[in-house]
Amino acid sequence: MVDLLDRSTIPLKTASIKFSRMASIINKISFENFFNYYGSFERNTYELEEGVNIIVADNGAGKSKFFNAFLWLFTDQILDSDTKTKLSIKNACLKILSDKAKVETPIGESVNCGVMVEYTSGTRKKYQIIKSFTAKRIDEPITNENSWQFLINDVEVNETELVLHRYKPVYGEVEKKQVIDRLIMPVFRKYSFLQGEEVDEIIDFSKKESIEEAVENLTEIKQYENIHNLLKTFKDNAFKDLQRKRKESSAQNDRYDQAVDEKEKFENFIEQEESKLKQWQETYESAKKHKEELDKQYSNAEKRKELDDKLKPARRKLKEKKEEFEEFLDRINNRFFDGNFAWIAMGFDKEVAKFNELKERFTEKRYQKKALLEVEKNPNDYFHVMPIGSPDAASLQKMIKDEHCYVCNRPAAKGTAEHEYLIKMNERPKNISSDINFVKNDLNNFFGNIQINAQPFYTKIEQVRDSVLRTRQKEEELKASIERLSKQVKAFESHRSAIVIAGHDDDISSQDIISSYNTAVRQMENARGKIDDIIVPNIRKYKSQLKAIETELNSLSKDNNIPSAYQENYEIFQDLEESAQKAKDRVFDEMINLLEEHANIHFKNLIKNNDLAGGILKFEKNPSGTIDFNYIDSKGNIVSGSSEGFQRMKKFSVVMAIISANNALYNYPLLADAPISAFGEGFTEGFFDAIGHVFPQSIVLVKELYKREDDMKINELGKRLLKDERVKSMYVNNVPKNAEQIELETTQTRLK
Amino acid sequence: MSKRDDLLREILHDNELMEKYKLKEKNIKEIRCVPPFYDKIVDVLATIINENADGRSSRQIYNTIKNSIHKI
Repeated sequence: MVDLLDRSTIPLKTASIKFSRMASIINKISFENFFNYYGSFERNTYELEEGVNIIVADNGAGKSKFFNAFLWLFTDQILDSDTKTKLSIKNACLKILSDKAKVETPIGESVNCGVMVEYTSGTRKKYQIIKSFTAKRIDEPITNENSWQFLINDVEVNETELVLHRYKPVYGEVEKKQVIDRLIMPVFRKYSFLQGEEVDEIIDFSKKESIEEAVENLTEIKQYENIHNLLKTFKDNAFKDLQRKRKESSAQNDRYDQAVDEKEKFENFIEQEESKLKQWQETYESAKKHKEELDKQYSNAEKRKELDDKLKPARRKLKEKKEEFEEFLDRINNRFFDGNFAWIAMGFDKEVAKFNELKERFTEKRYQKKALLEVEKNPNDYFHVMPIGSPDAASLQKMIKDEHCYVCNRPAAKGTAEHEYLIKMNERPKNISSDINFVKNDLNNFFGNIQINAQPFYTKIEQVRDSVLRTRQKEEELKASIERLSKQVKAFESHRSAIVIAGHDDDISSQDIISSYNTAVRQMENARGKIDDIIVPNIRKYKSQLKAIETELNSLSKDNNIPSAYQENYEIFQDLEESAQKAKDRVFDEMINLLEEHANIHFKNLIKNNDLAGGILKFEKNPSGTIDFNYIDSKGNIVSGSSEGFQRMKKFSVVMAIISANNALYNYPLLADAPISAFGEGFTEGFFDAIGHVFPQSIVLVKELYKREDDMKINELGKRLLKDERVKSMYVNNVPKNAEQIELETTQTRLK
Repeated sequence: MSKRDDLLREILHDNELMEKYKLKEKNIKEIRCVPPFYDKIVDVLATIINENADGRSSRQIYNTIKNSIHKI
């Protein structure tokens, strides 16, 4: 066996096909009110070329709709993205018709919806295919099926010579179908017209028919089978004729009769063993299939457990962090009034001095004001106009008695203020010792207390700003931690739910899976043992014995005087049957080897921008007759459990190998929606490089190159591809941001 | 080169068969599904391939070989 690792020396071009001058090249695709492609065909046209064409679009910007246009063209169906099922176009008109067009169509009026594809076939002919329907609005609610009457229009097919510009209609239904089929022959659509995840289905090596179908499409193996089956029948017929002739000749030969019996005996043995082989092959195949399903579940269960192990502490940490944040927020209020932080004092740096000054001024002013008030109220308590001892006591007593002031010569009737004043003057000497203060200064304590209470605050004023900044910082840290942990938890949860959805195994315990897995492995090993160690050697032994008997019979026949033509007839069929069997096996094995060789060349091309090195893809026949398809590392170990992107890359290598290993030139474009959705950037770059070698034209719909923030709306890889000479056209689809569904409209910008 | 010729050559291209019927490598390369035939075994196989491709039944093909080639 040639070491495949040495195949790096095989030039890549050996795996590239020479593009035929008869290839179908799509020149143009246009849409009219088709989903978000609102407006006329002219407004929604993509001009495409031989080579690689890339349509870049974010989610919801028309990728799958673009793909659906071809699905309509080929199968009169669309893929409903909500239910992931294919709907007949007849039942999908309401869904297909642009919502904006619906709104703008008045009741009683009609609107058209359709797709139009133009392609050249070879160097002479050009074709145009239009599929469309007309919708008439008959009622108000636009999303109600009963508000519309739909009429599916006849498919319109036109053709022209390339040198002419005017299309002529094709009328016959058979001819129309031929034009559509010529774009991509139905038998090749599974390799040439696909959505990302479909690659997994196309090349499912656990299914015998998957690889056999590929080999059938690539070789004439069915013809070998037919001829081999005929030869088997003819061999039996020839033997019966020979037997009949021997009986007619009534030649007696005991050994001949005995040999005939032995021949029948060995033929029966072989038949029995082959029947057992078939049963054990079925057992092996079913156990293998079960194991592979469980493999996925087991791997899902493992992954799920691994994620659960990560998810649990991540959730706990997130909860703790959130609680810490809540507490932190609660504590923030306290920090305004807590003397240790004294945030409320922030900005009060100059207020202490101001307070002291104001306090002084206030005390002084208050003193003055209060004093004046008191004095004004009772001036006589504080001031004495007449000197003490004047007038004398006798004169005062007389004035009191006479109720008249002789000093100012005014009456001072009893009960009047004047009379009271005279009495006060008379009693002056007695009260002199109890003179009243103007104002009692009792504010010192008041302001003193304020100062004592405020002291912890104003001593911290200088540190408050830093304290607030530190707290802000802490808040940011906590928020960042919460965000990081939330994202982590969300990522784990989303990954986990994806695994659960993919595996449907949420309710199955890991133990059950492991137990079933082990059973399947044991069944496989048991079947392998029976097939390899018992049945196949038995068949080989009986066949060898049968051959010996048949040789002896040939020899005995000659001695029996039977006409030699009968003997020759039998012998020729006998030999041809054996050699047809070998030819059939040889063709199959050679094609598998060729596929393996081509797949490895494509695979190397696909992964050349990745860090993977040294491994090869290996196809091996297993006891059930199916092909085991593995990635073997440089040390010869089977690599399993690689990423979805890697697995898909392997299968893409085989799809491309099926095309490039084909003896005939491949004449059809690749139409692929999201083929690289599971790839990393390295794989993506390799993919665009590789398809350029295999398909005469590729139209690839991707979102991975989209970058909303960029002026051109593409990422760095997109810009690199833009400069790649193999990329002939690149479009970016745009939809208005945050637009309502009824306003949604896809427009396109051609970057190249 | 037709698909019928390919089929014929591939089945005959077997060492044991070539040795027994004295078919040379270069003969195999030149063998075609049209007469004249190099050997009876080529005639038989070419007849099967041609008649089968033309939609004849197995009984018809077998009888043709018996009658026309082996004359029995």
